[in-house]
Amino acid sequence: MIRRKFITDVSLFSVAGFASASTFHFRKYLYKDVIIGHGTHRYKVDMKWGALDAVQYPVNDCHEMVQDSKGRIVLLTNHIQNNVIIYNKQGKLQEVWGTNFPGAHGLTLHVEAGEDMLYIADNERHEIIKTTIDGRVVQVFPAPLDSEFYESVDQYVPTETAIAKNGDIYVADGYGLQNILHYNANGELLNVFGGKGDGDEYFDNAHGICVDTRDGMESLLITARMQNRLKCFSMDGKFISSTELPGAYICRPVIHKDHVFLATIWSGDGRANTGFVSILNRENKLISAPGGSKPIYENEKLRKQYQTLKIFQHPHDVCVDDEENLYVAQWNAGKSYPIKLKRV
Amino acid sequence: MMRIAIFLIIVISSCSKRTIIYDEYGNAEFKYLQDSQIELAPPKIKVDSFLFKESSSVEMSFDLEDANILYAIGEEEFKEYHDPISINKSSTLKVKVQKRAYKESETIFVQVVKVSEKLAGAEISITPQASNSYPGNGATSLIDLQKGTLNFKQGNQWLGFQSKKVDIDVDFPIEKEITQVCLSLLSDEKSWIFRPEKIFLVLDKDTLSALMVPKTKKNELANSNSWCVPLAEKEKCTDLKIVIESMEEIPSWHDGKGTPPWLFIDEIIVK
Repeated sequence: MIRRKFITDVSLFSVAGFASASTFHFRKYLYKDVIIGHGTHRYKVDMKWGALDAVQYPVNDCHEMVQDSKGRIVLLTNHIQNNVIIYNKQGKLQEVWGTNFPGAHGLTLHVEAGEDMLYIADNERHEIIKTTIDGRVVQVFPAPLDSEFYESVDQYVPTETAIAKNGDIYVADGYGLQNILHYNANGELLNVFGGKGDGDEYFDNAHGICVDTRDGMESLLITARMQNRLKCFSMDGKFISSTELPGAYICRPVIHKDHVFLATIWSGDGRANTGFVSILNRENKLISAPGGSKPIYENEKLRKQYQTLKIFQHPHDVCVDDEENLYVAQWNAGKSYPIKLKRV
Repeated sequence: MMRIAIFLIIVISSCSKRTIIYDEYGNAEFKYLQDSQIELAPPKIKVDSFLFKESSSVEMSFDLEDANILYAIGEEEFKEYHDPISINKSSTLKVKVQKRAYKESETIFVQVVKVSEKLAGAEISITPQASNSYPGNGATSLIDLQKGTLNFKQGNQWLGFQSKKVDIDVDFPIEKEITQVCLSLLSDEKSWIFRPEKIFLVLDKDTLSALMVPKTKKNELANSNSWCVPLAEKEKCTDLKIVIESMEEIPSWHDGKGTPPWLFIDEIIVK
């Protein structure tokens, strides 16, 4: 009897062990937070962040996002019921404003005399509008029809702005003639460079621009989206260098500490719904591509990038918060709200 | 016996608890996206020649850790891809990606076609002409054995039309025996490009054969495939007319509903 009981127990123990292992397997593979990205920059994905009542607070395209001095996340959409939606970092609504920006596209925040100022590039109004953080318009930069470069308002379709330390404003005419326009803070046009073309100093879809101060000096980083390139220019418009990102249709460069973050709207051969996020290191090498293929360099040349996970449709901008989390705003993504990527 | 009974209760109870979905915080819904909720994107496929005389080499890649590429030629079973494959007869290749716990990718269909010869010396005329936006290299684009890519905006292989009906007249320099005629067509509903409804073959004003082409479906992945119109029997001819009829308008489920669809052709293959 004693021996028989012992055998029964062993048998049950084996069954229990199997059941336990099997259940562990179940949990491990069916219910695991996905982690996307590569190397040092990996993230969990919060698809529900910032979701609102779509009737009360609708969005069309979610074009760009910035974090203000209070730590809030500011979203720009081209829905004129509420062009600007302000969240806290947890995705709770703080306030909305703006009903007069039908082509709201580019959003840049610049602190001036201790106050957050927003620069909105509106590609239907064909102008740049500077506002306070609560939406009071303080300055408008109209289409540069006084210059020799533009004959009609329609030729000027600005997509982005960048503000230098001295208050000068650089405008990327990304959907227009592909020029970069350099203004002083009073709105006087000082210089125009770039334009459409294949050479290093020209652009095909000069979509985004920012001021790069990572080496202690100011320079401009400008995306040439259809060329899959990030180009560097001096502040007076001289071409310095170009970074090739094959297969990555990059929207605007966002610098956070040593890294450049770029929403990548399409990938591979440029087909719809193939976006991901690109993250470059200080040397402008791709080190992580959340949602995209692993960055691999062969003989110093990046292998062509493409989407691997169907998480994003058309990422249009990335905002990096003070806790290293990302917020991804998307164009043409079924009127969906931004996606938060939590750094792990 | 008592010990056994208690143990069973624990096992059963513990199993039943695990059928309920909780995350690590005990919430009924997950805060973060789960890997089992994510669909893999399709793999990258490089074909050295979609139209070939001897053989075609196919290379596949997918740079995601622990993901496997699976492929099948024709009706064969799927097998794991390791090295480039060589195909020496007209085939449809099916390719997809799998990774444990993730939803597998859509299956990509790639058609490679063995051709005996170019339609050398044939004269092609098209009515109406291709759109100024997508003129390709003119009518000869259709017989140059050069396939366009899915990125139809690049290269000069694709001819794009926005007409209800397109007639293609092929004049052979010498009499030719024909068993079937294939058209290579693009389908990319996100770019408002749809397959036509019907393709007719006309010889000496008599319609010899026709093909009803399957409709482009909602959310169908962009693809480029050959659609062949077979003849009942071998025919000799010097003049061949191909009549392509598109849908009247883009269907109601699409953003472009009510407007004329685009038709894209890059090659005619006569067998």
